[in-house]
Amino acid sequence: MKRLSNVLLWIAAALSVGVPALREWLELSMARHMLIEFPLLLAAGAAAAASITPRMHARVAPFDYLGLTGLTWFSLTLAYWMIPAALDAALAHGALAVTKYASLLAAGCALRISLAHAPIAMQAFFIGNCVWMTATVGLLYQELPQQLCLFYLQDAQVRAGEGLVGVAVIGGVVWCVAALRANTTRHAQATPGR
Amino acid sequence: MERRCGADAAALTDRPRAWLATGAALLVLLAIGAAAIWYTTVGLHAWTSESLRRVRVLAQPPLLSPLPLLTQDGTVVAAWGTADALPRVHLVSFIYTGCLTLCLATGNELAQIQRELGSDAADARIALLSISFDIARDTPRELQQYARRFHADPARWRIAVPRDGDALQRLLREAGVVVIDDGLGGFAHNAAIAVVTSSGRLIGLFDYDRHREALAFARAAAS
Repeated sequence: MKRLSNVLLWIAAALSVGVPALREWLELSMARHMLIEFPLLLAAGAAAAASITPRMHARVAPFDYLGLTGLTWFSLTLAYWMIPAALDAALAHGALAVTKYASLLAAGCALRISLAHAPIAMQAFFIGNCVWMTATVGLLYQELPQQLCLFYLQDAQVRAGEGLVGVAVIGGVVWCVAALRANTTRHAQATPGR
Repeated sequence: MERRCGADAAALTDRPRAWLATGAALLVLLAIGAAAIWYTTVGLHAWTSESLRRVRVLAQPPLLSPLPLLTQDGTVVAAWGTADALPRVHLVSFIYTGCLTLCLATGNELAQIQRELGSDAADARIALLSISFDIARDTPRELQQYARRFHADPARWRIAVPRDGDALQRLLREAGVVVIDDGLGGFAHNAAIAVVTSSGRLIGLFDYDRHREALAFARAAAS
């Protein structure tokens, strides 16, 4: 798992700085941009979080009580890059493209760290919000009659919208399964002690 | 997911301090997030690049660089920003003559404006200009065909193309026009009627189907 995470990290790093042709290919399509590049950067950020030392963790933890700060950062970053004007700006200006890569990597990192700090109710609140927000944006991309991004045609916007709804549903299901498994494991560990 | 490290447990033992530190971090984070969204959307007024362009043009009209344009009759003119540019307020559309959708609709709207323009002093200071961004294909012959299709009066409505790619790219960048491949051999672009003064100041943008508002705005600017 750790090895796979590292591979993802390096793929994303290569995409963002080392392989412009691959990056251009990803960003040429709105669906690839939002449904492959974004998750890849988030996953790479999460993989990077695995290598954070306990000492660094101890320094961060007081600022992330109940996972509030990291989960807020994750939600804000996700929301921001789904604004059509922000997505266009990241394609038009190099500095904003770098900001996008850095913020998504950081959001992935924050998500992994903060999920470990957050109780299940807090996780449910933030993940649930991200799911409905992503699905709502996906539906808007499909339903609005106008082309929202200057760099993407309307049919590309519809496809990206369909994909966002799918990603939202899959993300929600994955979190539910992971939360249930964690809950089961915790109960199994707690039972012998009772 | 449920793994809690020692540091986390330590943080839980000192709840007031953790709340304080987390609260401060959250405040900073929310301030950064709100500022980013506020700046990007100009105070929550514009969520797309096109609406953003219109808000920014009204707030701070950009200055378009002078550029030589090759017109439908083969002459080279400067529309604005030079000493020999005519003192006109231009209603400008960006087109390519091979377009079968938006550019035709915009052409019809400009044709309507041409019909509505009178001969009084204010209207005499208004001119129409369609600028092609397809410099590879749009020669004066194509421009002339486009002009004929809409009965463009050359004294009032010029169809033109920038003479080189650099000038075109500069103009598109300054005017905030984005042209992309439509995947069918043509282009997709943000269509609007732009109002440009003789000094090259882009002072207004109107939906291509709101020609009456564009004309009224141009008349106010010309008078």
